Amino acid sequence: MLDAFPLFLEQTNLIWLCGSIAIGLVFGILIGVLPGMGPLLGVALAIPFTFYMEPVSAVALLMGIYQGGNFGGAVTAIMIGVPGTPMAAATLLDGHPMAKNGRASDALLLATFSSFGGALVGAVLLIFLSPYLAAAARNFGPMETMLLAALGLSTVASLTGASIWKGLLSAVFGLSVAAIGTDPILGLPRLTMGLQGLDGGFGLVPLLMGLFAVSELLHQVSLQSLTQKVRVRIEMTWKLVLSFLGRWKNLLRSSSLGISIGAVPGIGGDASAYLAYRFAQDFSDKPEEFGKGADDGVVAAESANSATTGGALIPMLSLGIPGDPVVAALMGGFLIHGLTPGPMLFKNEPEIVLGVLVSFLIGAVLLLPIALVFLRGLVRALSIPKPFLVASVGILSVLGVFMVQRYMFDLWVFFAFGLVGYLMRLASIPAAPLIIGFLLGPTFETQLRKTSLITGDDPIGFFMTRPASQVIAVLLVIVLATPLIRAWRRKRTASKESVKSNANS
Amino acid sequence: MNEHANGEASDTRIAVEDIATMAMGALTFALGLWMILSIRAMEDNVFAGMSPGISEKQYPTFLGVALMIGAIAVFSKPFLRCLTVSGPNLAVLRGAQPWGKIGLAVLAFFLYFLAFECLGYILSTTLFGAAMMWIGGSRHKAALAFAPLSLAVAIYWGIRLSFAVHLPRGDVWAFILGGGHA
Repeated sequence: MLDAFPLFLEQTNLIWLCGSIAIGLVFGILIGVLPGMGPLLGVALAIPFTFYMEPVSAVALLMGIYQGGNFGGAVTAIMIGVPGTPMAAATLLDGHPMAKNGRASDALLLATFSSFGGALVGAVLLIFLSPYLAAAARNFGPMETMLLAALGLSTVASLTGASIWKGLLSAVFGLSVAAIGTDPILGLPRLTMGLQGLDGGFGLVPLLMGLFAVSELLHQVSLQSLTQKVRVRIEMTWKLVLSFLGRWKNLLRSSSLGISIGAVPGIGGDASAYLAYRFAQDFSDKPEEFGKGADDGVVAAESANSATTGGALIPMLSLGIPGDPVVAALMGGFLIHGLTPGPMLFKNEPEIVLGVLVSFLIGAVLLLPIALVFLRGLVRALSIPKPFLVASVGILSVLGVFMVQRYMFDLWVFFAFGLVGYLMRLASIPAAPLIIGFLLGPTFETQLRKTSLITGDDPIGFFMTRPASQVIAVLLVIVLATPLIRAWRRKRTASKESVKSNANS
Repeated sequence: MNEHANGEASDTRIAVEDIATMAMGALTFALGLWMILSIRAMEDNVFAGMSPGISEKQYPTFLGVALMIGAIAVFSKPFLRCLTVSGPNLAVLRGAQPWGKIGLAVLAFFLYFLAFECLGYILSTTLFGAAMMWIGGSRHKAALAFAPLSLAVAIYWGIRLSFAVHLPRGDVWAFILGGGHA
């Protein structure tokens, strides 16, 4: 892949690339700071505006939002005790007590350094690991690709929350929505209700923005205002920097955990941050300080959730499997620019992949100066009045949808999916499986039908000759069975406890 | 007292979730059924019928069936709860969410899209922005007027100058001032 480096340099304006990453980081951090917003909404809002950009710069901007958004959530968690993003929930455990003890500046700076460290470790591992995985996947045929898509879909089992049925329904709903439009093999229209706008199927942007932006907006309208007037004086001292550097073991351990967990589709940054936090507590000399404002708690949580971003990109880039909702949206950004993540992208357009990987690394490096420069202003962003925020998000999301094709039909699709998204939110049906189903639907259908053509009447016999398929099938079974086993064990423990308590009473 | 209030809030949340789940179940069931019926009504493709494997009609039919099964699985639990435990208590829903605000926000979106081409981007966006700010709780008249207007004008010209994209100027303005849409 390094052979593509001269071509990458030739095709890419590095200043423009760095500018795109910086804009993405600033926007991402800002949207991460605003409670309830987060990188998912940020990426969804930005996708349409990248339509007019070069693919690498566009993807770099979106990845900047992902990286920045992850960090931004920590500012809210520390300052007002509400995680700006789910990933920042573990940062809150010690970050907010630190702020309450008058160490807000220290907590913010430690979170900034740790995010930078975690992102850097994540970026380096992403660069080293993804080409190998993609190279291994390069010889995959339709059966393996179909099974990989099924593996991606099976991750919904981990994204389902309380009810597996609700997650599965959401994923099948996504597959069904993807089936509306044109038959991918025959090229004939199907299920279009005679509407010309549906000939090419539903657009990704109206669907994504409707599901996430409109439902978020309606949710925000129903909430009490979280806007608070907060100010903080940022003071960086050598003592703090040295104290952070002294925690390098915690940083490396948490970042490694973050990237490993991020690379497993369906688990996500919040889980990695909590796990890293627990490990840090177990390894700490002063575990009793955790939860009361321990520096190590902030370092562990922030570095882990930051490294998760790099880990989550590994399966998406190398195999085309989006493991969490933000990465699914990010994958949508790739697809809109005609880039299909997966092993063939590494083979056919290595300069683009190189650009993406380099951008992620630059993003990790730029996160530190940008976060430090904007930290004070970011804290002030918490004081933006909610009515203005609600109106701005509404206006920008509509603009984003309209900008893609300048087609009124898209706005109505956006509206319809907005209502569906809000209904799903009220019903506690996760929207992430729908997006993953929608993104993987065409690949899954095409490869499934191709596989059935190739294998004819003997799919099992064909399967037995494909070791790669067998490995993926085993992984598929593990991914599907894990939440079921977990639910069964939970039930068994609960019933045992209830029997015990009955016996005691 | 506090426990009672918490219990009530939890009941309300469950009631909202149950009704929304049933609505989603019904919606997805209808979609599944419609998919199956539409695919059955489609003409057979002669060439596709000659090749082995999963046909062009089978895959969407599988999805339709899966959707209906999933919908029934999701629908049945809250439905049974509604019938057996406390009955469909719609009264509890009234205070569960600020439905008036949410309804107004949905209406604002709907009217915005209706007015989008007719009134043009700047005017419709200003009205929509003001409506959303009002729904969001702002009662400051100057802010309601100027914040969305300045944002709409900035976006209109920003997009025009940076991307050469002409957002709709509006039929009304075209009629008054003459010229085309943009």
